[in-house]
Amino acid sequence: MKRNFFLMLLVMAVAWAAGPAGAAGEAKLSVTPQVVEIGAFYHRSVLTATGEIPAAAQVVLRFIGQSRELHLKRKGRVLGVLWMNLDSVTIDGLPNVYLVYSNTGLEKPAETEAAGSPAAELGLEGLSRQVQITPVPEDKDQVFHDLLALKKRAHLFAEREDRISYQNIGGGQRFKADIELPSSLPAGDYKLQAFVIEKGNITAQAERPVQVKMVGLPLMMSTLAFQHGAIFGVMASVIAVLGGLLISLLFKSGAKGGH
Amino acid sequence: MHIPMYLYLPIAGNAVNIYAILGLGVVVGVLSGIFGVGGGFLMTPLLIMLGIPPTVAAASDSNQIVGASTSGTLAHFRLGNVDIKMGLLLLIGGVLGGTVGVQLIKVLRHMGNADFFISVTYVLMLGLIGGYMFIESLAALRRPLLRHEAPRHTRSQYGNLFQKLPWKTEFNRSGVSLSVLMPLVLGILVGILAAIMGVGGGFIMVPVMVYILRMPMHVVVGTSLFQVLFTCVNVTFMQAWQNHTVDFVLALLLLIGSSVGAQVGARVGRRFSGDHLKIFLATLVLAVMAKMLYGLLVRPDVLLSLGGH
Repeated sequence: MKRNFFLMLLVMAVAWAAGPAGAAGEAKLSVTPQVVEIGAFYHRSVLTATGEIPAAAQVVLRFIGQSRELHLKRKGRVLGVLWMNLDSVTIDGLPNVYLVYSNTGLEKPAETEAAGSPAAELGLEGLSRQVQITPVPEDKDQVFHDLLALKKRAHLFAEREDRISYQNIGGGQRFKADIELPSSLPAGDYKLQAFVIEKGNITAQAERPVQVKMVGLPLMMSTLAFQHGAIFGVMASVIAVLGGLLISLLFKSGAKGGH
Repeated sequence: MHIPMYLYLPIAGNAVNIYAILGLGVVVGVLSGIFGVGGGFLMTPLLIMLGIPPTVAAASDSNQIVGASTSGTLAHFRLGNVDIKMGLLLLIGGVLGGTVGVQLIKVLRHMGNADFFISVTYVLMLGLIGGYMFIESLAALRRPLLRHEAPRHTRSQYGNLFQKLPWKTEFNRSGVSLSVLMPLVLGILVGILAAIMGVGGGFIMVPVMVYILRMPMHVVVGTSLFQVLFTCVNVTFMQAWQNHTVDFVLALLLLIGSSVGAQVGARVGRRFSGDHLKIFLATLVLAVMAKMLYGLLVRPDVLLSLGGH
């Protein structure tokens, strides 16, 4: 009985020391707005994240989307000279959006040299351990880094440093950051997470949901295109023909007026 | 008053600068009006560069070509440059060929070498067509006097053979007398190639009309636009229905630019001789071929791309 009790204590201690999320305490975090609306003139949006953390700590903020299966083509060499698509790979476990804000640098946490520390796991490189690539390629690292490059190019993945401001308050500090959301942000459910980092370890965390939804004209067009494709196709063709005729008519009257 | 700079495209899932898209439409529309090509082989890569997903770029471009070619066809029709009879025969052939081509690609995809086949076909076709047009037009421009003295066409062995084909008919607007089988069969061949290459086929159809059907260049341009119009209506409908990749808002923006451009192009085109037009088009086709060849020979920065399976 005594032995079981000590074993349980040991398991809890290990989980607290190693676990990035499960064992960590709560941190204070608030985000505005909690709903992002994509209207006809949506371009970019900014979320403002604020909260409080202990005096000696740093915060890492993460805006993360849902994981979806992703199919990609992979280029290779044919006949020793030509580069072209040769095979396909399927990616699982990769969030569709992943934006990380920190002031410490995520690959080498400021207060620890320990590789693979919980804080380091929060960066883009940390995703390599949760992503599955099938079929497993020989050069898995290369494929993973190409995947990151592809996502960064679409502005859906980013690591941004020194964008969090701190202000001392009695015995602690208040943080604030503007999270820039890209114009290519898909509609869906997201999470804004705050991780409190002390000596390279995550000691507390908090999470707030953020909803991104289409409204107005984009919502109407999207519903019509995806649920009534045939009608949408006819409408697109007819309006294009009418548009061409209208412009043709304008030019004809313009030409007459000119002579 | 605040004038918006950006517009959100719901199917492409991205926002674009309104003026960049309008400007792109004008440039491609001018080329379309001058040469009678849809311009898809230029517009699609440029849209991808502006952050539009490739499948949405290609499908939405087809939608805008519907509008631009309507405007361009009308402009050429008023100038007497559309041979409707020839255009309809080429169109029927093109639709039949397109259906065969799509099936061929399905078989090749199943075998796993469709991409190789498509890329090599693209570069070879662009190189052959562009090279031949360039050399032929250059030679014609260098011998202006001889050209006036020589008969309009010297009939080759193939020419004699074509003249012996049955169901001969007059194409008054083009000023040629041919078997209806000629445009039908050529339409089928161009349709197969266009389906394999995933393009409207304007830049293959134009040289076919010039060099094989022997139509005058100005009638070629108008007739090509007429045929492109119907091909793209079909593509727009199929892409919207089956793949949901037509972004109507993007197409409308491009259309405004390209319809204006096509009108300007049709007027600009009249200022040049047929040989000049051919040499400009040949240069454009060769430039696209060179870009594609570069993409095939040089290792890309990233070896992955969206759209597997």
